[in-house]
Amino acid sequence: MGIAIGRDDRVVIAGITGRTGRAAAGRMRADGTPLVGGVVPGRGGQFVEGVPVFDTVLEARERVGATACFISVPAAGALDAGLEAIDGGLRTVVIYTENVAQQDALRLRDYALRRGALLLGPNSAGCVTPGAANLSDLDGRNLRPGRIGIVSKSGTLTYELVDRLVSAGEGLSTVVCLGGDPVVGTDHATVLDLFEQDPETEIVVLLGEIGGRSELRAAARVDRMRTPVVAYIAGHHAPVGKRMGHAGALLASSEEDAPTKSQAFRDAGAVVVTRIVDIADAVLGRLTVAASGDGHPA
Amino acid sequence: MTRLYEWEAKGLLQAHGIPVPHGRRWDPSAAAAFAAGVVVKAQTLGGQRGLRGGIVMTASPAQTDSAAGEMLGSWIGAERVDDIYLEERVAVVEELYLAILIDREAGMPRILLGAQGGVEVEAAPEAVASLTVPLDIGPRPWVVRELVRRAGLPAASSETLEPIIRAAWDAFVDEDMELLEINPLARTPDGSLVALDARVILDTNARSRHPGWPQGGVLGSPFELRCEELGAVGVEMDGDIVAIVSGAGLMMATVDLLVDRGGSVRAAVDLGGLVLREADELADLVVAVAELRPRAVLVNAFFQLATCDALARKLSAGIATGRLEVPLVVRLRGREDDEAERLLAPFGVIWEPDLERACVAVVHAAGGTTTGRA
Repeated sequence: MGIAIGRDDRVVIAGITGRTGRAAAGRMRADGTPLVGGVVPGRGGQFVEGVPVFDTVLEARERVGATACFISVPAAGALDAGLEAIDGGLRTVVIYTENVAQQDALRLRDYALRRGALLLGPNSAGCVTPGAANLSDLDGRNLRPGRIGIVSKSGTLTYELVDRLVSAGEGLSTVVCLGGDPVVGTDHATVLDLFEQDPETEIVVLLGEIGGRSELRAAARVDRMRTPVVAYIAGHHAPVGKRMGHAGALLASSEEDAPTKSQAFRDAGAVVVTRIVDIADAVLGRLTVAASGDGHPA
Repeated sequence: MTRLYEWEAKGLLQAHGIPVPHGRRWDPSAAAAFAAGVVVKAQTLGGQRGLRGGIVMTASPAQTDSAAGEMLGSWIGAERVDDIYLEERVAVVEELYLAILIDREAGMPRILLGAQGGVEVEAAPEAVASLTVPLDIGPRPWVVRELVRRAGLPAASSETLEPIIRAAWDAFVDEDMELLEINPLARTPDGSLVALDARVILDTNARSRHPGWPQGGVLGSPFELRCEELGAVGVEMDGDIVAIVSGAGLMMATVDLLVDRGGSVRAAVDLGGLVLREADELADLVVAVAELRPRAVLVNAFFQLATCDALARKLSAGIATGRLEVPLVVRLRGREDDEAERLLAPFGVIWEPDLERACVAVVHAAGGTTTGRA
């Protein structure tokens, strides 16, 4: 059920004794996420929110069967924490930490690819399969399980979308946030492939933004997918050459602007909206078409 | 994104073994240190310095002082020249182009080599050859040979280029650079190579592990620099409305919606983690926004972890400064949004929890039309 993270995972938090880590542990305990421990060097033997702290990831794996890690350590420690989680054979690694150096991100991305780990971030809001496990900063009380998958760079844009979909009576299979940095572990296309294989996901909403080519690679996947895709690219009116909040959202080439990316999705058969407030209607409309039998191209 | 001044960049390159011309920063005694004329170079962070009078050749120390005197305090683009670098003149037989940057799509550095350096590069960027190189491989001999082949340079150039490319790579990796550009990389009559100009962008996020880094600077408008000081990201534009938003993605989407509804944007601000902090930077931010003289301001936040009442308290401190004399539309969603509405009620803000209606309201308040879709 869902992708990236599920009920059978065993979650640990790297940096669980810090302010952000402790808060994440509290949220996970509250919404039923299978949190089994934390990893903080030198703090082995302590307990936070009722779960044990271990000195190393491998110890957490041996003792409590860790399979996934939420990393909320200071930026200077993110490279080590990430490499350790990947090296420990964990399947899903979320780096929530922001302001991680780019060359650290390159090394993390490389090692995750080599070891087959799903790395989200740095600067990722995480991933959540509602009702199963929440490795994100989304408030579990605002979520509902369902049939819509979301892949996004941005946390805040995702909150807005989730609110609109849940208010419309819909639910979510999995929400995956890639992170807003120029170099991150996973791109949109990889997550589309996972959603395409997921029986729970009937439609995918893709949130992109200006800068980089992740959305263009994803658009090239869409026409081969059975699962319909609704896309919104933020930054239609972003000025050239300015970083729009996310370090990665820098318009350097006209191929990376919002109209070009939007057109790539249209050409591939996706439903494209140009305003965040129109997405819920577009999703519900597309699901209705799918239900009437015209949804899946042969 | 910390940009280095030329003299800082060259100091860093020299420390990594890359030859640079003999030079020193100008002061009243500096010109006399050079027997003959020099190149007088304005130290600015932006580009096109040469085309804007920022590089002058002189023939004597007296000429050097007079050129430097004229240059000091002049403006190149939006930057005032506060610092001048003097450099010996170097005889050049060939100008190459060398750069290293991070290729975000490939997930590794990319080395660029061009047979025609100088201003030619901007005229014909496609003539520059390039290769992505994994961090753990680096510029091995075959990488250099292949770059030389692709750049159309004689195979024998590999021999002199290899040590320079290796040193540039080490500087790029060791110093956490986002960009290293040596243009031109000049060949002198004796066949050796020297970096005549250098542009370096350091990854600000890595500053903590480089205590010896030069200071450098950041390009941006005064408003954008002020936002950075306060821990937010500001983007200045030329319209009427300032949008202060709780994150980067929502900020871009808000700008899209404002323009769709017929508005125009004076500036957009991504608050980032600023709302989670104890200090009252938000009040200072409101003052900076007021100084932009917008026609109306929109605050749009959707929180999961932070609470709306905390933002409302800090925002009301900003309003209480009395500096913001234009309509303020507030759209807050998330925990404690009722309390936030109660807190802001005495301040005469326009409270509108629906995103699209909030955008329409601020466009109206700014005196604009809402000719967008119904």
